[in-house]
Amino acid sequence: MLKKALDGVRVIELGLYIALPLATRMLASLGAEVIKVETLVSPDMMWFAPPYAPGAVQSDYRLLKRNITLDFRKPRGKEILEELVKKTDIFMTNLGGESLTKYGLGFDHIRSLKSDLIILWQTGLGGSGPYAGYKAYGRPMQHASGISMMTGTPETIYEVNVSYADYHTSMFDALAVLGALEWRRRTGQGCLIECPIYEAGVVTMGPAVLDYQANKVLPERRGCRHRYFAPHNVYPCRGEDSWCVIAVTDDREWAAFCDALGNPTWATWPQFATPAERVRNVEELDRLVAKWTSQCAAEEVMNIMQAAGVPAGVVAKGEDLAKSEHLRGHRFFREAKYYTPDLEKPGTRWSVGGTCLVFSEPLYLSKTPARFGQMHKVGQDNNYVYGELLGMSRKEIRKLQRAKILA
Amino acid sequence: MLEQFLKPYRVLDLSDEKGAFCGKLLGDLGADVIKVEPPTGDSMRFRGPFAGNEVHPEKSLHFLYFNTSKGSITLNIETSGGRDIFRTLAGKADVVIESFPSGYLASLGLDYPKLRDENPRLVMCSITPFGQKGPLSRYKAADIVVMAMSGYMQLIGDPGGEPLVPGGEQSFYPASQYAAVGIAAALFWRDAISGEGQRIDVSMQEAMITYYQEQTPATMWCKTGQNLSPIGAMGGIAPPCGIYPCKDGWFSFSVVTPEEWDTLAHWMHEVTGNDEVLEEKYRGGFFARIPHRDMVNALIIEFADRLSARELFLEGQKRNLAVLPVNTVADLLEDQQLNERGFWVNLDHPVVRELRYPSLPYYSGTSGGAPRKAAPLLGEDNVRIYCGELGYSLEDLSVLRTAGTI
Repeated sequence: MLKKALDGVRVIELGLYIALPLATRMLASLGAEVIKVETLVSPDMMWFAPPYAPGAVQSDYRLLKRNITLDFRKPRGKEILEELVKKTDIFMTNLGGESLTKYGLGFDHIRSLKSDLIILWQTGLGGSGPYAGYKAYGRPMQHASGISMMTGTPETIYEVNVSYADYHTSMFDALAVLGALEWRRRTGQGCLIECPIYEAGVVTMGPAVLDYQANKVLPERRGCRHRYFAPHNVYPCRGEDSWCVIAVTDDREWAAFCDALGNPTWATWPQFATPAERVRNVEELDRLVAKWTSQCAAEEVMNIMQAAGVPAGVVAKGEDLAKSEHLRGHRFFREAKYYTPDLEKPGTRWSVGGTCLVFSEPLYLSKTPARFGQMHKVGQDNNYVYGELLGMSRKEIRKLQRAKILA
Repeated sequence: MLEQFLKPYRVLDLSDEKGAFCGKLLGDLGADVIKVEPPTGDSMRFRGPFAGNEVHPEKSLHFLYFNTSKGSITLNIETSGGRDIFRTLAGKADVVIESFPSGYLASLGLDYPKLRDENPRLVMCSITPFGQKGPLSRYKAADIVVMAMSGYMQLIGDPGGEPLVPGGEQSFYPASQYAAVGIAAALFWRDAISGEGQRIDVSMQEAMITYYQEQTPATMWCKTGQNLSPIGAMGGIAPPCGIYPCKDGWFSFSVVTPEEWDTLAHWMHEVTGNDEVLEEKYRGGFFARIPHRDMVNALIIEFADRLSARELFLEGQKRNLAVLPVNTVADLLEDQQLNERGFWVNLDHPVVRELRYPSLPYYSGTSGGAPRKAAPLLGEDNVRIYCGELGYSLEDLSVLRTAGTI
C-alpha cells in the first residue's frame, strides 16, 4: 500500500474549466480524497474542448477524483451539499460569488457549517474592487497579466496558444490549501482564501515590474534573443521545420561554444570578444551560428553543445515528447482511459472512448509518491458518497435520482 | 498582520534562479528561509536588470524579485569547514532546496542520504532542468532551453515561421511552484502523519509541459500523427480567442459557451450592421467556428476597428463576455483593480530603496502570507545564524571569513 501525503484529507470541488480541476487533481495525486460535484444540467464546456471527440482530454483533469452528480441549485440538492461540507476538510470552488449567494451558498453560510473548514475561492479578476465579478478565462487573462506585451517581435505581439494564466493559478490554488491545512493543524482554525487568476499571472511579471519602476524601461520584444546573452536564439537545423536553441550565458560558455565549433576564425573577431560586444553585434553573430547549425540535425547541435557544457536544446514537438527516452524513463506520460458523454444526453449515456496519454505530476516524492489512476464517470461515486458517507439508503438515492436532484 | 501559514519552518535555500521562486513562495508564506550563498554571492546577484543600470551585487532586480522574505548567509560548501557547518545547519532545518547539477552535492557528501542520516525529518527538494535521473539529467539549461525541450516554443509564432519563446523567462516559475506544493505536502505528511522527511525531485522540463496540458502534444501525435503548429495571435484553439487589434491597440478575449457567441454576434451586428456574423453556421460550441477561423477573425477585426480597447473591455464585461485588456507592466502598476485591492506591496531595501512588488495572489482576512521583507544583503544574517544559533564568537567569524569558509 502506497503511503499518501494527504491521507485522510477530504476535498470537495465545485468547479469548471482548467485551473481549479488541475489543482484538485494535484491534491488527489498527493492522496487526498477529492469529490468532484458536477451537474450535467449545465455541463463543463471542457467536455467538448477541441480538437478531439468529447471527453477525450478529460482524463487530465479528472484522474483519481471521485465524482457525484448533484443539482445544488435545487433546495434539496443544496441541503445535501451542506451535509457533505460538514464532512469535508477543504471546499474549493470557482463559481461566481453572485451565483453562490443566489443558491444560498454564500461563504459566510458555508463557513458556519463547519468551523475549521478551509475554503479556496478561485476568481477571475477578483471578488472585490472595481472589476469585481468581471468575467475572465485563463487564456485572455494571460494578456491582461502582461506576458504577451513582452512576447514576440518588435513589430507584433503573440499569444501563448493556451490558457496560460490558468496553470499558474492551479498551483497557487494547491499551495494555498496546503498552507492552510498546515496552519489548521497548528491552530485548529479554518479560513477562506481567494485566489484570482489575474494576480496569479501578474506574479510572473516581477522582474519587469521592478525594472519599470527603477529604470523606466518596458521589456522589449526580441524574438528569441536575450537582453544580456548572445548567442541566444533559435537556429534552423537540417531538415524541414527543425530548430535548436543555443544559449551562451557567460564567457566560459562562450569559450566552450567556440571550441565545440572547432574555433572558426570569426570566433576571435574583436566584435565578439566580450558579452556586450556579442550582444551589440548579434545580427552578424546569429547569421554565422545559423550557417553552422543549418548543416547539422537539431539533435546533433544539442548534443555537441551539451557535451561542451553549453545550454542547448531541440525545439521539441509532440512526436519528440511522445518518443522521448528520458520522459519514458520517468514514466511521465501514461495511458489513461477516457469516457465520451453522449452529446444529446450528456451524463446519462457514456461510452468508453479509448485511451490517451496523460502527464503524471512532475513531482517525485520518495516516500509518498504522487499517484496516477483513472478518471471516474460522472456520478460513478453516488452510492459511495450518498450511501456510505451520508448514510442514505439505496431507496432514498434512487428517489433523489428520479427527482433529478442527483442529475 | 496576517498569521502566516508556514511560520514555524526553517528552509535552507541553496538554489540559483532555477529554484529561487520556490524559496520565495515558502518565505512569503512565513517560513524562515535562509539563502546559503557562496562568499562571492549567488549568481543571480550578477544578472541584469540592475537598478540604475549599475552592475552591483545588491542592485540586481532579478535577484531582488526572486528573493523576497529571505535571509542570507555566506558559506563556501566546497571547503571542509563549510561542509561541516552546512551539515550542522541541515541537521536542524526542516527543508533544503537546491538546484545544482545532478550529482554535485553527492560529490561533496551533502546529498540527501547523508543529510538524512543526521536529520531524518529533513525534506530535501531538487529543482533541475531535467530531473535527477535519465539520459538528460546532466544537460544544462537556460530558460529558452527549457522552453524548447518542453515543446512550449511550438505554440508561439506564425504558421511556418520561426518558433518563439514566451517573454519574461517563464520557466523559472512552474517547477518552483510544483516544488513548493510538494514541500508543503511533505511537511504536512511529516508533522500530521508520519514524523518522517523525504526527498523531492522536480524537473523544469516536465513542469513546463504540464503548463500547456490542454494542447496535449503527445496525445495529438499518437492519435493523429500530427504535431502542434503555431497559428499566430488570433483564434488559437477555437475562434474567436486570443489577441485582436482594435482602434487604439490590442484587446483579448475568449468565447467558450454557445451563449457567449450569440451575445457577441449580436453586439458585433449592432456595431457593424454586417449580417454575416448572425449566420447559423457560426453558432454553437467550440467546434462550430473552427472551420471558419479566417472569416470569424476577419469579422472580429472589422468590429473591433471601431472601438477602443477600453470600450471593448467595459462594454464586453457589461454583456458578460470575457473581454480583457492587453496590459504592459506599466499598465499593471496603474491598474485600478490591483491598486484598490492592495496587491502591490512596498518593500524597502537598504541599497535600492523602496519599490512596489507583486504580492502573492491570495486574499484572506486572517491568514496566508505576502512578501514581508526585501531581498537580503549578502551575508546579512551571518551574525544571527553563526553567532546566535551556532555559538560562534565574532572573533571566530573573522577567522572563518579569512579562511574563505564564509
